[in-house]
Amino acid sequence: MDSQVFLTLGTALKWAGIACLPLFALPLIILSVPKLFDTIAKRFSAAIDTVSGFALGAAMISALVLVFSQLAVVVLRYAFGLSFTWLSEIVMYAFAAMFMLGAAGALRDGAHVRVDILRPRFGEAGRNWIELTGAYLFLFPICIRIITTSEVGLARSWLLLEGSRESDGLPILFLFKTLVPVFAVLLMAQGLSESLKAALRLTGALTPAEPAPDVEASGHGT
Amino acid sequence: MELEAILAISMFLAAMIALLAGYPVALTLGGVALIFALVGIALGVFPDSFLKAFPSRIEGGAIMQSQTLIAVPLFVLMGVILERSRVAEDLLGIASRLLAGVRGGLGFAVILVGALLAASTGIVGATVITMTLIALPTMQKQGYDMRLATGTIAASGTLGQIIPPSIVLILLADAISNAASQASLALGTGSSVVSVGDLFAGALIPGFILVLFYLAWVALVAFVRPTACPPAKLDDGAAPLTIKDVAIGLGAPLALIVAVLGSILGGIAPPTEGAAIGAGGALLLAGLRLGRAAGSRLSPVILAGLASLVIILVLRNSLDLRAGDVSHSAAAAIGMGVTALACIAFFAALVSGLLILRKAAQLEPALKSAVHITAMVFLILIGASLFSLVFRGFDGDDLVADILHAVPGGKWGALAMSMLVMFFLGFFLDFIEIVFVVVPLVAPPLILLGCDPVWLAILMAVNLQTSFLTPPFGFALFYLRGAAPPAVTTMQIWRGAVPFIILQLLLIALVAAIPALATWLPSIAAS
Repeated sequence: MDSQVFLTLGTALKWAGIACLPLFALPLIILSVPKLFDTIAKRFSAAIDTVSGFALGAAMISALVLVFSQLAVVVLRYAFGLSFTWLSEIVMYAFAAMFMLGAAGALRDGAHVRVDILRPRFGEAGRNWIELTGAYLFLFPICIRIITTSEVGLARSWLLLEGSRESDGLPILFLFKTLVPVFAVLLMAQGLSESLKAALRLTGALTPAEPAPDVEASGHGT
Repeated sequence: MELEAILAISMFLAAMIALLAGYPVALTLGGVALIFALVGIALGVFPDSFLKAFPSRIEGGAIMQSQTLIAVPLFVLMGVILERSRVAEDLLGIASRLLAGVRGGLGFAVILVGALLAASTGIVGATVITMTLIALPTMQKQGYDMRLATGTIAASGTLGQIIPPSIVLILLADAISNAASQASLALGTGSSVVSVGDLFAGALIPGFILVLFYLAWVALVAFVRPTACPPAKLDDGAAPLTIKDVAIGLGAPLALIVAVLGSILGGIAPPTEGAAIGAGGALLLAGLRLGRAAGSRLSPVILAGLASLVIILVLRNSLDLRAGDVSHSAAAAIGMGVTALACIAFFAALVSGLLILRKAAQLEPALKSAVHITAMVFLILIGASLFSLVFRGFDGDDLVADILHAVPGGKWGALAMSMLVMFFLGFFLDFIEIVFVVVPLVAPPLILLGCDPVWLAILMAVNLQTSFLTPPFGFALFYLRGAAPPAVTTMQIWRGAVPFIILQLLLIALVAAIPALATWLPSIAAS
């Protein structure tokens, strides 16, 4: 296939992304004009949550692939003295996919560590404002930066349909590199969903969720 | 002071203040760094090219293609599978029933199980909570001094940081290794590599000493104040322990730990492969444990898988099975065939383990929490690497080096200051953040001043473990408070931690005074 097709596709995706940017004003609109978009916002946020859930599922499958492929590497090397580059690459790809695809779902489920010394004292409204400010000040800029700076390198990689440097490696290094913008887009969408939920809670359209002290979810001290 | 230096320092302070807001740490670190980078670019003191390197850093050998860090999700999986299959609860139940009759017996049981769990799951929060929920009520009923009980539980729970194979030691090895190669580059000497195996070996003796310290303390209390920890009378009506219960409940996790640690420290397998053995072994154990409870028909397959492992080990070490070799004797050819069959049996057992876990509705939660923890760790790595990138762009690393060189007392002064800073940061930052943000800054100058990398890493690990145990902000104490019954006061928990903090400080002093405690094992493991 002509790899020029991918470049066109990539450009189309880029413009689609830029066209989506007004959506990121939605939490602010909800805050300033309550009730107008409440239903749409709830559905939109739920849809994003579902997509992140799919990505999380893919990450869970990657976790299984990681265990089995790494064990296959161990057994083949130890018992028969065999090693295959493609097998080691499956291990690495599964490893990277596990956290690059899982990061958005982890944000949805509140699994990313927070410093919770002062957090209980901010009150429900304070926590919602922090969620909103954090998304606009930290999350969106980081993700936009990752997406824009990875554009050139990624276009080159797709044009070459870049594969492994080793002859017996997997021919899909370009897909591996695509995990970076996919991660950023997923994380950004989930950040939007979280700030929509925070805005809806602030206007009273969504009942405040009492964050349960969950050991596993906080993940501290691993 | 130069503008860059001012920006570097204010970036660090801004990040620390922003973190207190309670937004996810990874995004706060990265976000603050990005804002300061943009300010720096606008003022013309920050090279734009630094930010352009960010995506390639993510997809490069430091994060997505890191060979060392592949061990992290594998050990996480091993931990969550063991946790989900209730191996931890079995362990504590068996140990406390075995030791209950002795004065201080429940205390000994908590410490020993804490050490075993540390070596198998290594998840501090989960360990502290499990032990609080199971052991604390029993200890309360038996009339234990609550200060002793809570202190023992919190301290034993933090052992997961220091006893290998610990996830934080892997992360620390990655950071220290980078620092060591930077330092040797600056010195112009050959590259020095600190491997995960080195840190595992280095942490082994200090970890053992710490467990002995804890045990000795409980023994001392039992001797001086017998009323603080009376022998327990357990009559909960449960059937007496059979040898089979003990062998499976206690022996199997022990065998797994020995297999994983032995293969890594013995140089048979690199840490990543050892971690895979651990995850696979955990799957088999979980299958065995849950399959036995549910009377699953798949249990024999798991036993066959365990037997096939023995066959593989024996054949591999008695015959030459290397497939590349053409000149095979008939015996070797048969051996290869049998080994291949054994491998198939092994993987069938793994799949059975998965199916049993799934039937018990534990597979999905286990995988999910493994992905959550892994994503959490690596998002911090991504955020912290943006932070370090920008900090370096402002020449912040040189600034830190200058400060450490200016501290009076040379190597020891600089070391003491870094340790103090890390101790206080440990009150509100996790081990992971400190390893990714602070260690890359302070370790290269400290190594240049003559600190041994492995020794330094072990000191840092024990230091942070201490800080997690120190009131009022110690994380382990928070977890304990959350899971303990309301009748236990916070003051009891705080006062209970004090003797264990003193023991920790004793260990730090001991390792600082006798570096061989940390460096001797890695040096013989290397040769």
